[in-house]
Amino acid sequence: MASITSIVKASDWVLSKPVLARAITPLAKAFCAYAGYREMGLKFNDIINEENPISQKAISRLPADVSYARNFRIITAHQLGLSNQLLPANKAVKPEDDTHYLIPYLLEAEKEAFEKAELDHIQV
Amino acid sequence: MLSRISARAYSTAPVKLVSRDATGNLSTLSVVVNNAGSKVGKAGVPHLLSKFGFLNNEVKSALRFTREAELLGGAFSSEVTRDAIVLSAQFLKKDLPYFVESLGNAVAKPSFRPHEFTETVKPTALAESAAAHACPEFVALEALHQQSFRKGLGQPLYYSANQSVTFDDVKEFAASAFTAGNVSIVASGVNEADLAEFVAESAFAGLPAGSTSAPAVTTFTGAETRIASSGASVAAFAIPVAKADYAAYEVVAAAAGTSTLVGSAAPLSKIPGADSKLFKYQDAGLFVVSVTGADAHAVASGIKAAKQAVASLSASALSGAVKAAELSVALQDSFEFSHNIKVSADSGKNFKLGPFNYVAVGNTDVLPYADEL
Repeated sequence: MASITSIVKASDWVLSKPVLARAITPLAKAFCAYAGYREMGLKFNDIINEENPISQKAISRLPADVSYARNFRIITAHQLGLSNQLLPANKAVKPEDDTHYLIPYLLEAEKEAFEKAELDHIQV
Repeated sequence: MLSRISARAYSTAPVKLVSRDATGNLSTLSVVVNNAGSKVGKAGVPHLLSKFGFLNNEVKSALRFTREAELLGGAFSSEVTRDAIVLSAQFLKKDLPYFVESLGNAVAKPSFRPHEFTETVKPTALAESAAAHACPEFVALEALHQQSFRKGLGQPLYYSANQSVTFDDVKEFAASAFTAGNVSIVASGVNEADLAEFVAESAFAGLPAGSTSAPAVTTFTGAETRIASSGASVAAFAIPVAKADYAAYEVVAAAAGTSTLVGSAAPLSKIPGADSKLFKYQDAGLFVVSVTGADAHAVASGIKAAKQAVASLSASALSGAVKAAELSVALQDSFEFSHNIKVSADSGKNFKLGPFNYVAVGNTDVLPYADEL
């Protein structure tokens, strides 16, 4: 799987080219809107794969209030899934609230892990 | 006095610099952050800050620095004293530029990540504190400092879990303590001109100007503390000493018997586990007479005999101990921590055991009370 670092790098590259950015940004926005996770009360960062040591480390480093809000959203989504419902439009997560709260922590954790791997295999 | 190799101090460098050259291939470099020790600020904060010493900074991660230092064969440590935070490194002479740069980054460009505080700093500080408190002598010394000075030098040396210290406390303390006026570099085994040049090029030059002052010292006597614990027993009494009286109490320690002078025939050396020592800090000292042992009954009779021995030191014993005191001072003096103590013939002349602070740690059912000494 591609690392978050490489994904962020690729998206930064896309955003740095005005032509690409103009073409791809509306597509990406539409994709996120139709993906439906916002109607389940989730943000995009809530559905990033968390079953690996790097994500676990990043999640453990979240500030207490951010971590609480994340857990609350995940519980909400579970409840909606169990009762086979979607949130009404006014309760769904708004696009402007769909922030990348976890990405900086993931990037830092990945940086540490990559550096450790590099130093473990260093040739002197 | 033992002859000292001349040390040179630079005034043009960004921070105070004291260095001397030495033969051999080994260099040591200590960055002393004065007025950042446990006597300053909120209790526990300086210890936690010292544990941040070699963690991530803006230039390099903690892991990379550790691995690089290992590859270069260097050793480094960060510790807190009552007066200062000391970051020190020991390395081969040719690696001086690397370590000057790394220590400069550690002091001037720390990145203080919140997760380091919970993942690394707090657990190591608590482990260090627990290891120290497992030793009854340390517990006794902490209690004596607390009785004698209350605030300032009397604050606990190490962080403990019942102090509520937040990450922001540590960051604020670092911002106020890590200034050009507080930081000084003591190096031995280095070329003075090279060191001055490397320091001027390093991050030390970017330290904010200013300095902080040490809290005023007030001393107290007549207190008694009894701490029950398992393991060895310690009974000790202490007298707070003004800076001007260091020489006098060095003479008293030498006359009574101190562990720095091995094999002297002084009275305390006849009592098993007895010792006397003058703890010297920047603004005040503490003269401690202690008896340690596994058998509380032996410690109980030992501390009574030790108190008698110190109280009954004769004028001739004190004047006879002047030479021994000079030797003791010279033995305790190091290049990194030098105290300019001038012991003269009548230094110890006016000594009389006055009121003191007393602590009993261990089997408190057996150890005597202060008024029973």
